[in-house]
Amino acid sequence: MLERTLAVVFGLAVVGGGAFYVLTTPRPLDAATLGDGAGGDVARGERIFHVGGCISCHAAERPEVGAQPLLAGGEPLETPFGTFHGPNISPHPTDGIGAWSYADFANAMKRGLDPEGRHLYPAFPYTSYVKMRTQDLADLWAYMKSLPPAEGRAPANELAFPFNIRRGVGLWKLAFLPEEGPIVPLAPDAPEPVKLGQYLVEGPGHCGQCHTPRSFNGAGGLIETQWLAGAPNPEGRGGIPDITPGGETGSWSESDLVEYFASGFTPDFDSVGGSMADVQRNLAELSDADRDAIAAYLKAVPPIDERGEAAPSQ
Amino acid sequence: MRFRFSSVPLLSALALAAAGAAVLPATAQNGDPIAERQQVMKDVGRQSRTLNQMVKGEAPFDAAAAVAAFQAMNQDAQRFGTLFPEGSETGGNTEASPDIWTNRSEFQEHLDKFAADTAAAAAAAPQDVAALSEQFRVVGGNCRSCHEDFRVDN
Ligand code: HEC
Ligand code: HEC
Ligand code: HEC
Repeated sequence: MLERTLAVVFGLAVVGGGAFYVLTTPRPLDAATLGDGAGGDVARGERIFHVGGCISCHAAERPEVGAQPLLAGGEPLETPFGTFHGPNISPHPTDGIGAWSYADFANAMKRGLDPEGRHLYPAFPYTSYVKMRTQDLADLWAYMKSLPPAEGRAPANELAFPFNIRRGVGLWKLAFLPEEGPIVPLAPDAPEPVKLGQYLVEGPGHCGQCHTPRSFNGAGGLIETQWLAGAPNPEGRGGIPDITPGGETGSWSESDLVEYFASGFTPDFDSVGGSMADVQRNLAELSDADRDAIAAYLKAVPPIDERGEAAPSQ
Repeated sequence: MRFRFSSVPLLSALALAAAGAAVLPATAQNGDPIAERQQVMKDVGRQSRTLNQMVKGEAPFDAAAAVAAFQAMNQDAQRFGTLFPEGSETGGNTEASPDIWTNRSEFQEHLDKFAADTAAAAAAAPQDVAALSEQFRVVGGNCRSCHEDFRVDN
């Protein structure tokens, strides 16, 4: 059903020719807001790298303790639309992104564009990274450049027609690429950790990519009125839990949440699993202050039933 | 990340049947395997809590209690694999992933490693918190890696 609707959209778009061309023209960041990436700091960038979970999709395995990650490309990502492969984003000059400028990198992270202006698929969570702060992006870039170059290219994505038409992603982005700025309205006098947590969760941490349902049966954008209220599991059986105070974690204390992020153990000594297991490996790399902030924000998010919203539209 | 048996379905099916036969003794027919395996995991959780409290200094270090906890987990590890007979894939609020029944050999590797690591930790008989902490780290890594592939959230 969903596949068919989308197929029609993509198909029409292709037939529509001229209009399609105009609508799918890449829209890069304007140079003024972009900054020049100067002053990036490697150590600060490493923190953003862990929050952003880049290693989960761009490396086949985690490095030994103390070693640097080799971002030669990740494990296949199976989705209802086909299989994606996180590409080589190491500083290798030809196989990776070693020849990219900072502007190229920023346009990939915040606009989903590669240096040739091709649209990147939103399996790469740039719809969250668009909320990243300019300084954090510059720091991340400095860190990325400090990593060892890795040889080899990931296989091409295996997507069914018409999703294999990259240009069609331009239309998707017109409809679904969010603005910069916060999702959940917080009081201006919200405590600092809550504000930091908001930025980490809504931006680089991209928690909503899994914990928030999507419109168009999973093919559209995140339904922000259902923010973090749980979603079906795109990998098959089971679901992705509601992590607002209205969900199971509503009965967890802030320190229970922090313990879960640090060790993977829940308050009743169940252990993290599913796709959260790898996210937790990233969260374990963060500072206590960042984990505290994420927990504080999750406690401050309004539970879905207090937002007076209707059930998610299919 | 998911498992696919596209290439040689017949061979895979045979291999699965063989692997399945090896890990399904008669006990699985008695009682309710779903409830039993959840009880076994709850015990694994209880033992983990005991160990974690010692590691964190929330409870006094007790060398004998630590060994007992690793031994109990080792028993659980050995029993757990017998509680997944055909027909217990769904129902009883199970959070077992369907992959357990389609990729039995990989599930078995996780079980074997869990049994080996808990046995080694018990044999090492840690004599202080630092040694216990290291053993618990190794044993605890099993939880996440098996739950990552073989447990789903309902
Ligand atoms: C959930 C998986 C996922 C995560 C997490 C992720 N990426 Fe990606 N990334 C992808 C996929 C898939 C692509 C390729 C998309 C395509 O083929 O259009 C990609 C593409 C890219 C590209 C473009 C590469 C090229 O050659 O065009 C860059 C740069 C990039 N990612 C950087 C990052 C950074 C930096 C992070 C961490 C902050 C990150 N990614 C996190 C999945 C991910
Ligand atoms: C790749 C998808 C994915 C991403 C990204 C993700 N999660 Fe999860 N999360 C899950 C899944 C799946 C579970 C269920 C885990 C399980 O089965 O043990 C989960 C569970 C949780 C839980 C425990 C809920 C419960 O009821 O047991 C918390 C808390 C949580 N996630 C917080 C976060 C935070 C904070 C982030 C962002 C930093 C995040 N998640 C990002 C998939 C994801
Ligand atoms: C070999 C795989 C495997 C290993 C290793 C493993 N688990 Fe599990 N665990 C499972 C499966 C499968 C389930 C779901 C069982 C069901 O619902 O049928 C589960 C469920 C659980 C539950 C929920 C039980 C309930 O129903 O209330 C807890 C708690 C738990 N595991 C804790 C742990 C801890 C702690 C560890 C590590 C010390 C661990 N597990 C190691 C596979 C494993």
